[in-house]
Amino acid sequence: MSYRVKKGAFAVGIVNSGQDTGSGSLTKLSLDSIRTSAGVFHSTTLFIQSGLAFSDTYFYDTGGGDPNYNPSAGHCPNTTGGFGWDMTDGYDNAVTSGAVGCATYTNDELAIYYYEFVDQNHSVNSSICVVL
Amino acid sequence: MTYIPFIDNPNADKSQTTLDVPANLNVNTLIPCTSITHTGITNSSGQLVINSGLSVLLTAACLIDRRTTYTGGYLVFQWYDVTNSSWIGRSCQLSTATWNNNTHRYRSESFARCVVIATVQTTVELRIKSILNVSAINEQYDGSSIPASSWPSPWYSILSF
Repeated sequence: MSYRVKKGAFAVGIVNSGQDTGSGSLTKLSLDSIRTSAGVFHSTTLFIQSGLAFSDTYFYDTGGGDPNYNPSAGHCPNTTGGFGWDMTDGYDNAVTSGAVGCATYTNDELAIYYYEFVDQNHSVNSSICVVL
Repeated sequence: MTYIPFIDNPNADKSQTTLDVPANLNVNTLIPCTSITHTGITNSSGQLVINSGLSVLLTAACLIDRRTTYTGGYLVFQWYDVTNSSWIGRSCQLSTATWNNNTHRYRSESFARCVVIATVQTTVELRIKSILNVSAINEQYDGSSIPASSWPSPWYSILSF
């Protein structure tokens, strides 16, 4: 079963399980919890009639590999919006951009799409996705 | 008991699209917004013209590449009210770093944002506020375009009602 939030509501999705997506492919992160201003709470799937969404992610080191090496990833609330970029502290970042992704929703699923370029024993956590 | 009602505003309009490459890398240079379809807002040569009576939240995130300089650098960008000649909202700083030097280990860059409550028609633009050792903005250091899929992408968004 899935829910659909009407236009004008507000929703927050959180990833708190820590997920290692591997590198080189666009992956939809699993949201661990969703809350909305319309009073709906559901743990898996929520569709947004109309909204502006932002994604934010955080890496953590799971041990092994090179410290401060170069895990870097793009992320966005859908596959076609503006991707934000995260990378590990201290990485030789010749290229960088805003760490927040942004997209509009029109009957789209509340989600975070995540593309990890290099996987060096890092997982993603504490991600949020907000819809206005 | 005090009630704080949720104000549902189904008439709000929301848009998001890309930023373009600025004409040069100097302070006060326009970072162009690409064309967008949004109620009450038009794009004029990379600037946004906001109709009177509209309340607007603007956000924007650039991309920088310093690869030809090989030292740490930064870009600060912010929304600018052209009509009233003033910086508005909160700026964003993007920083690059050299290998493992932890210069910028607590990264906090997110996006530039501002709120505009337009009592008259108001023109705003995204501008370079400060810059050091940046080879390219919203393109790669060699002038090529940003890869389309999954790369970080320069974007801006509009929420208005």
